[in-house]
Amino acid sequence: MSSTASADKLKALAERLLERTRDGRVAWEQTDRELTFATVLKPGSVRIGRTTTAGYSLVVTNGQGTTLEQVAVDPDDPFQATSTSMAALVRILPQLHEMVRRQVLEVDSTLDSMLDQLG
Amino acid sequence: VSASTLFLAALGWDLPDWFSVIGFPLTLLGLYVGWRELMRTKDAAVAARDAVRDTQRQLADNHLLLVIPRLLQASRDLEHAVRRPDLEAAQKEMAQWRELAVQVRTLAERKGGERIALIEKIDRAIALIPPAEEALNDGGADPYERTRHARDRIRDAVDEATRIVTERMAFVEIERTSR
Repeated sequence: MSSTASADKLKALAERLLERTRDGRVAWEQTDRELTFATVLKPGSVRIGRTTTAGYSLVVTNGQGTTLEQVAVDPDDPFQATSTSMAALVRILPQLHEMVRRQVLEVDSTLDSMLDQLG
Repeated sequence: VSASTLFLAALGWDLPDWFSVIGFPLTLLGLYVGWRELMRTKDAAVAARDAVRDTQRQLADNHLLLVIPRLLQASRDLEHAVRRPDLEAAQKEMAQWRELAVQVRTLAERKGGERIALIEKIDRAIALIPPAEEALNDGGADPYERTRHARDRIRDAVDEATRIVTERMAFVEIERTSR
């Protein structure tokens, strides 16, 4: 990520995605990277992922699939919040990732089915 | 002031007064003729613009029909590469498919709203290609399984593209036989 302006915009994007995903207005899907999910947002797409090394990542690509912006945050790293936007991203990305993971993997409906089966 | 008074007063008008009275309806007539000509010219300009737009869309569609077979071939080559498996070829073919898909989408966009399903399917495939490329770059066994999600979306886009070509060819055939 290149500047504070970028961090501000990525923070705004992450906040909006969190809100819209919670409302069920953004459809995410599984990618070929484990725990990485993507959604098409014209004129490009957004991916959110979890890695063992970098914590959580948010990647914005254009319509050709070229990366335009990306940010990686590690909630366990206290020195990463170098700005208010970065501090917000450290807080938002884990929430967004968990929400998306539950949506894509249909966690709640699977648990409900299991509970129904057990009676 | 009664009409007869005005009539009597008009009898006493000078020539410039009469010109003013006659000139007013003529001015209105002139304005109407000018407005009608303007509308006719505008209609012609709009018609010419529409014709150019239609031609551009038709050319884009014809171009689309030329690029789609290359897109289909690239997807087949990708399938063969991941099945062999040949990692290097798979990386090359996936990049090739993405490049062609961007071309197809650009042409589909020029066609207007008619190709929206194809555009959406290409967008979904392109969104999933970078993680699949990363999975291929990481190496490891079973590239077929490691690129499954991206290839599923590629297949969706290719199916839609094939449907367009089939539909277009059927249309051309109907036109040919009806002559």
